[in-house]
Amino acid sequence: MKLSRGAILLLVPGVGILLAFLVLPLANVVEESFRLFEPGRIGAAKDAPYTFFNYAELINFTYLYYFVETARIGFIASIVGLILGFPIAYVIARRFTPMWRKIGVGFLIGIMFLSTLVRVYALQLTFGPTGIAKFLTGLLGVSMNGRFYTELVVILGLLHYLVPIAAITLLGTIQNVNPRLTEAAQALGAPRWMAHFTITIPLCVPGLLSAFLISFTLCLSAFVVPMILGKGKVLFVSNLIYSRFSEIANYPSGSAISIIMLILSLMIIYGVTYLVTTRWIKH
Amino acid sequence: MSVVQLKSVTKRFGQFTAVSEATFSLNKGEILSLLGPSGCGKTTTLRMIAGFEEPSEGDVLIADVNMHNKRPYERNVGLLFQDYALFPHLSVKQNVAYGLKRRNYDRSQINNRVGEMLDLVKLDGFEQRRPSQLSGGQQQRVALARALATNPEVVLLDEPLSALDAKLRQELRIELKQILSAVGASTIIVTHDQEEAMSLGDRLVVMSEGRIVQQGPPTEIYKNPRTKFVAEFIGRSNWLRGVLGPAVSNNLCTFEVAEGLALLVPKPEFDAPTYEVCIRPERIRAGNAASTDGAASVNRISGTVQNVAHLGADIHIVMELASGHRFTISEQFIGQSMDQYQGLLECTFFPSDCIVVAADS
Repeated sequence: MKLSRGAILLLVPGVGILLAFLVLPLANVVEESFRLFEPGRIGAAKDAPYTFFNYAELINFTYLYYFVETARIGFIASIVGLILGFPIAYVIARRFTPMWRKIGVGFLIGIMFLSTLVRVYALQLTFGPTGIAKFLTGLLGVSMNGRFYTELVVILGLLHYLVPIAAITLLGTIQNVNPRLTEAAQALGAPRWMAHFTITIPLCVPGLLSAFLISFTLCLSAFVVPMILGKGKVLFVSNLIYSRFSEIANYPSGSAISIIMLILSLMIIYGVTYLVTTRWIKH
Repeated sequence: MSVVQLKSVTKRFGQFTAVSEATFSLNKGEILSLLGPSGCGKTTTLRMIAGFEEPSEGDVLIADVNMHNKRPYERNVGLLFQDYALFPHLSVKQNVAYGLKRRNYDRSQINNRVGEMLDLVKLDGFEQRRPSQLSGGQQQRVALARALATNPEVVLLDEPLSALDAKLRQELRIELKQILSAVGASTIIVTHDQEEAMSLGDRLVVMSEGRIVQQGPPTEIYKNPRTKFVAEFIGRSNWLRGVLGPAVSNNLCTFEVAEGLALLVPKPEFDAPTYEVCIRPERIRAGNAASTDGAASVNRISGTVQNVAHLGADIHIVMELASGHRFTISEQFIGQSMDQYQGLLECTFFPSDCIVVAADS
């Protein structure tokens, strides 16, 4: 690849900003994560010695639990988001008239522009002890303070933006699938549901994969939702990082957790992509 | 025995009537061409037979069973789409096997049938290919094998050759006909191409604006089109509008077109305020034919040659008559010189070559 002088000139500002404000601070975090922390200080001392302690400390069931819980709840929420988002996208792409399609897409984008904080408190009001859900939980015999209920509310909070994102991502994919294919399948004797499971969904795997990856990464970095709706019972790694940095000012430990989270996220994304592309996307 | 029967089938989409009172039937082993310009309702008719649209009125019968409210997968119909609609994520073999699997054939039956079908369409050895790795003609054959694999009661082909280039289309037309007659499939072909309709179909059903305007064997329709639309849509034609004159014999009468231009035409069996006469270009002979035929009742016209186009086997001559009418004449090329087609040209045709239809008001 050979770039002309003009192209290089155009690239310099963007690459410069990326280096200055993204790579350098991240390098700073990496460096900080290897510094020894003395309790009582704010961050590590300038000349603090290097150590692996911040990482070694994380090999502990309590910390591991945060990572596993974040990934587990994020995974469930992403899958549920896909399952709920797919039919919405399908109906908008296939059944709506062009005008209703615009309204539908506008509505989905509109939901995403709504402040996370507003949405989360709306859920808190509805599903908290003062909301209408109290009646339902009482009826079903579910404790509102129980772990299950809290987790459910956190997942609902995540779905609030995962569903529109999944639907918008899948919209294009579904539009690109030739509608004649399901008709061909039906003419060959497949009922409609079978035609969708054998033809439409397999052809949407690339779109489902990208929708899943977007949803999952959003879940992993979710912060406000678990903080407010989790009520201290359900905490994500982001909340742990936050408390390290802001509550006990242990910057090195917070940095180490951040780096681990970054590496784990990249590994999961790569792993899922590899699995899906080798298994299902062959053509 | 008729495999498919349509009994005054009407389909409306809101205010728009796509198909109006369509009645026709398809006999066992027959190939029927549903012919008409785009938007004439032929594809809607096909989709009603396949079960993707429900008629607003009338009945569709397949094998004497009323298909009312029967879903596409509850009918035994083989469908070939214009764009083939091959499943891109499945191999050729899996595509052909799709319908067999839905009908619960066991593994060895599926393998046998797929092999048989690919043999029929001359694609053995292509089992593991993906549709994207095939040429247009090969894709069409896979789609045909897929549609025929389940032994459907009726095979429906929607513009089967329109996605291919002209040369391939001719080859595949012959091949398609051979394959369909080899399996004895009762077939309905939807097309807007009159050559395709005539060469493939044992019978034609011509549609215009949602209505069936004429049906019958291709030769019959070409020779005796009942309306101007049918005559113009099927084949090339020259038109003269005029007044019917007195009868000159039992079956001939005069036809006054303009001053100095009168023809002898077959006596029409219907009444109309005005008539039009159609003469096919290939029925007109350039030069003086009377000397060779000696027939007394021959129509003569003469005009100035305006253009001569040599198209290979045919020569198309455009001439202007003294009355101002333009005529196209088609002559076979048998090595003659083009020089004879210039200046004032005399032409002849027989009264029996004139097709009289009622003029559109």
